[in-house]
Amino acid sequence: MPTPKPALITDTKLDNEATKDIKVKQGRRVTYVFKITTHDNLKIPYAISVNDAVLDEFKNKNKRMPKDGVIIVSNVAPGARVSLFLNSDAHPRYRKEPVYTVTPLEHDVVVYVTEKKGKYSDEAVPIQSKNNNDILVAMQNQQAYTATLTGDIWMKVSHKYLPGEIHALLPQETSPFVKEAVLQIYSGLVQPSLKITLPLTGDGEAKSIVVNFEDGKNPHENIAHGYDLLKEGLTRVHPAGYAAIFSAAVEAGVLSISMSSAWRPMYGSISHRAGLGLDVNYIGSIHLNRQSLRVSGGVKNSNVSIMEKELLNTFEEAKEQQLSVKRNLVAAKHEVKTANGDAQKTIVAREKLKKEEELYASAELSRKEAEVAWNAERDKNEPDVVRKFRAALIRSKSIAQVFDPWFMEVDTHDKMAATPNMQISKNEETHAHHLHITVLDENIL
Amino acid sequence: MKIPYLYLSILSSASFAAVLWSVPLIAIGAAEQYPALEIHGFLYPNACAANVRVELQNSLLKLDIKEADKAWQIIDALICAPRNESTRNAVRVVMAKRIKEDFASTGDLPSFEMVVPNAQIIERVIRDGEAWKAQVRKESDNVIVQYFVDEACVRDVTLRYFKSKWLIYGIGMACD
Repeated sequence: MPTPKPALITDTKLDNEATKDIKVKQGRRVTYVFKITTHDNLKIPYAISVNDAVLDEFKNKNKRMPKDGVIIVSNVAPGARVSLFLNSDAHPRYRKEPVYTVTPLEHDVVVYVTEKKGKYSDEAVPIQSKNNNDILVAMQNQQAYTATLTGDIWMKVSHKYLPGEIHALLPQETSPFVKEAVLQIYSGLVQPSLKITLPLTGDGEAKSIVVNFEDGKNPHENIAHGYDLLKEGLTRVHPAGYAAIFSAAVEAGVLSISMSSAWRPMYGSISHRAGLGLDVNYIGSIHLNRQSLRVSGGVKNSNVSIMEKELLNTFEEAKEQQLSVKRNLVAAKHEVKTANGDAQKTIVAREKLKKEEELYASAELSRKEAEVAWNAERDKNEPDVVRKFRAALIRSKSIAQVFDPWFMEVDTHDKMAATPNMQISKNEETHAHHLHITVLDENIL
Repeated sequence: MKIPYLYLSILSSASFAAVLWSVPLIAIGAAEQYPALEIHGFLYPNACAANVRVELQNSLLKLDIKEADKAWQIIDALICAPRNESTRNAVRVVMAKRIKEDFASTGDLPSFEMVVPNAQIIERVIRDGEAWKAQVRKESDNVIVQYFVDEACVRDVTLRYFKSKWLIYGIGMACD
């Protein structure tokens, strides 16, 4: 954190009688220090407003909170009101809910905002700290305030999409019947399900897709007032997310979808908190779950065969073997280099190197073959409908990421192919049991 | 409710051995404090439940690493030791001077940075029983312990054997 400026500085000015020191007031500084207890690096979107006007640097784009959670507003006129817009409400077109407003007067101000799990009625209003134990703050002549970030405040700073906004937020190519279905979510569902009526097929058959929305525990455990999945949860998700999933279902020929998570305030990534994340756990009768690849006793289904587990094991052993052989190869190369012209040593070292090179080539071939075998068995058991569903999502212009139990696509707009979900890395493990999409909206994230 | 750890008062130093000696009792308290966690239809017992701890220890011993018992002492303490000054001191001494911190949450591209371990990082790696589905694996020269901290977030800690001792060289978090 930069060293704070003093609230008052001494300047020298001439007057009629003599030279003397007078005190000239400097602009105040407001420092927000966020402590997010449920995530180490949440990078909440934010914009700063002073006297109800958003600062120029935020006019067209929000910023993301740095990892240390510190936001500094410099050179504020004494008596000016400083506020933040947070999360999806920091989108340049929204900005309806200013929070944590403070008015510095004689001193610089520091506001400590701490995320607090549970149900509370706290307002997003900083309270002057009575605890003067913070010597650092006292010595720097700052006035300390405290505030909380509760589930209710998360809800307040998460934009609720209204029916009138929806059309403009959907990709132009969205089918009229998908648009109509998406609009229903924001017009007020009466039950946690939705029926998408598809146009009649050539032979006059009427088809529809049934979408079920699961309610999560997290909002209920952390929002004290007014949360309801249909009115306040589903409507905080960007409509392009629903449109992409419904369109992918149509393309893949899926007749039912279960969505396991949408907007949620108090845990997990910024994508779900900002209404840009949606999770799907069933398409048709297919459970998007491959936990049994790694967990004995996990959910059993035909997505993971016994053969696949064996082939994965072989592949991982082959990788380990290749790594081990590589170490020997590196050592053998080193021996050749350090033979220092000693003819006998050089001959022995070169012979050893040749042998290690052969072993490495063999290990590499084994690893490649094992990988091909695992890929083939995994792909063989992947339902075709899942493949089509994912492909449609990855092609969607409004989707930035697709993670599922089979494949991980961290950036749909780069040229890199999706990678298999081996359930090793942290991100892979969190997607062993559902499909996640992140909606692309650069005005939010 | 936590078990009172009377024996902690007799700890003469913040040595790791002292902390570890306390772990078997601590584990019981931690597992009681945090019950099983349901993640998409599967119920995972707390990582400090007695049988789960044994399974994790056995997994580590199978990894064929040097001084596995010492690696286990660190891992067990990180997950199950109580959040107090003794544990903080013990963790501090097994932190490398600079560590890699990586993030991979949905909505962001994966990122990492090298950081000097500070008090906040030490607080993060001490779980005090708040961990589920803990597992260990070996990657190159590293041993990685990975666990869920809630239904949506997974953390890991990377240990490496260097100059005859195990040190923490990395931490990370990924959330959906």
